[in-house]
Amino acid sequence: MSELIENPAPRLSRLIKPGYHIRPAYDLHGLRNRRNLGQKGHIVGELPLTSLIDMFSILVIYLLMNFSATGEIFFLNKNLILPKAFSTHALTTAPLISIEGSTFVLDAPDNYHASPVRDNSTQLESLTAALKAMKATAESQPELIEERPLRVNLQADENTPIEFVKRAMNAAFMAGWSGINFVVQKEK
Amino acid sequence: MSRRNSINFELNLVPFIDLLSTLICFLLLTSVWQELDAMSTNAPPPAAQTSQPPPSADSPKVKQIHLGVAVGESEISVSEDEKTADIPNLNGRPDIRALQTALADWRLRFPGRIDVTLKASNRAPYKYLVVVMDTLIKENFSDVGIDLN
Repeated sequence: MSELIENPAPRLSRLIKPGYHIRPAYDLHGLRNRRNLGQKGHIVGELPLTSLIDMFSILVIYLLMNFSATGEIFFLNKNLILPKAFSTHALTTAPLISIEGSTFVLDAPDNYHASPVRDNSTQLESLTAALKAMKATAESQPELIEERPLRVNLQADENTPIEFVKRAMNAAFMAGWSGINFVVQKEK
Repeated sequence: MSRRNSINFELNLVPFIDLLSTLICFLLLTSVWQELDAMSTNAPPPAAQTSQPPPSADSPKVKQIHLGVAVGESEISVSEDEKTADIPNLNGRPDIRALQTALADWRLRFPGRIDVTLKASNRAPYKYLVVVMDTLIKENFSDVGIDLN
């Protein structure tokens, strides 16, 4: 008895509850406190969704303004500046002659099954031959051409000398196409 | 106050965000950054069609005046047959106001005409051709034929 009095049992309050043994590099203190202490340790904030929705709405409005039901008829070289005009009509799908410097490039929609033709000769023989072949294809499959008379699209930089435009037009008319659509930017 | 009477509720924003995200993706893929349009001209008629039939003895002799506009590097010329008037460029660009005045005069004197022949100098820039053609169409001369010579 005297020993017990001299050395009393250790008090329970001195016992330490084991905590996390595996400590990650980034311990989730907040989550642990929340689980252990209830709402007292609530430090995880909510995402501010209002500003997110504001941004989304503005984006949607901006993109809707740029929406076009007809889509982009063809790819436009970023270095090419098209002339602007008011009195225009909608562009239709047709073979496209592009004037890039002194080179003439003829490209056609996929359903023509024709590969692009580059021509920088004076007489534009290969361009004329390819245009003739495309005209034959268009006449054999009327659904290829959206408009009558048969027209070719022509695009050129606004500072291209007219001589090049005339040469491309000559080639198209010699191949039997009956009209030219000058590709322009709609002036608003 | 009991919880049953509470009118505060949270809107479920998740489907709204889903919808907006889908819309943004769709519009980004389909948006058109450059609006392209066209101006048209037809091929010159074949020589057989252009040659006029010889006038018969009893038909009235009505001479069709040829209306033409020529685009040069430094001026625009407006011509009725052999009569030509030059409109010099203004600040390095075609003087569209003066051209519109000349076209308004034509409209008064030739009310039914819509055909004009457009000539262009080889060295003039393409934008001059387009701007003059645009003005002609705007002034109701919609049948613009381009002289390729």
